[in-house]
Amino acid sequence: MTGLDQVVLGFTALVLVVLGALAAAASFGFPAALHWLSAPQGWVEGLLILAVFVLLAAYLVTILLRQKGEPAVVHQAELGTVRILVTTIKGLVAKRAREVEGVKDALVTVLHTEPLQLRVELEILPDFNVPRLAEELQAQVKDYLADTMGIAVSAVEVLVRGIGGSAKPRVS
Amino acid sequence: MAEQERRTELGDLKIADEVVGIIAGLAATEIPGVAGMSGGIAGGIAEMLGHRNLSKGVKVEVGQSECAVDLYIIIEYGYNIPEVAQQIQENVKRTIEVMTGLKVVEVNLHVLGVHFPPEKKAEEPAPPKPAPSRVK
Repeated sequence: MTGLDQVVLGFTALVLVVLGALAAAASFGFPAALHWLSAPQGWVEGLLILAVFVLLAAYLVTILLRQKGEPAVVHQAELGTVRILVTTIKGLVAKRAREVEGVKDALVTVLHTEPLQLRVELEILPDFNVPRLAEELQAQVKDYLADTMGIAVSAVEVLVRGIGGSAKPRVS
Repeated sequence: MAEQERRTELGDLKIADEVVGIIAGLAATEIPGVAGMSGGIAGGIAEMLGHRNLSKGVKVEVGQSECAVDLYIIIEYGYNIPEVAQQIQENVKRTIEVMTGLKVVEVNLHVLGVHFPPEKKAEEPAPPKPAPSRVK
């Protein structure tokens, strides 16, 4: 679940609590709680509320569909299957790539799961030899996936998107 | 709530599916390297409302004498996933079998994410010591 998912869920919970409180207030003899909806311009608020609910419902459905259909790498173990979701692989590879000397930022895309093929887009620091850095990164990602996940990666495409950050100081 | 019912010498024994789920969830989370279970939308809303769901992230299918378990987990960064997965599967199977007498036919794991530890901030330089007073 992403940070945005959590924010939307939190907002949904808040909206439901507010609506529940308004409904409860109206039922306990405070109809003013819902009178603003029947005011002459109340239809504007009504349409806004409808739009908010439709958007929230659509987002919740996308979360459900995303969780069900998300691709994964599957291991068959003795006691059952182990599915490692692509988001897990992307997060781990991005973190490992950022630890390679000379890499400032990394964005990982999984091109195929069977066999596993990745693309790593990099922002690198100046003063580094790009082909050597790319080879180092490919080797480290391959070893890392084999060691921590037991996954053999068949290809790691490296795409250098930009050079950022500050160069090494010329004087110490 | 679905229940699994067996007849013993002195009467019936019923174990609710949720109980099997809680046993599986606790057995999984006690393995080092498991950061937590992921319960999807329903679990997220329940936790926001302060309800601690011990069977969060667990789906069980219970028959007369067998059961199958699906676990949705978050792994701690730095652990070997196949090793942690094997330990979870063995512990969940053993614990359910010992506590309920059900035979566990499969324990399927879904690794939904990795929990990264918070980044350590760079050590701030110590504030300069105040200069000694020149006058008493």
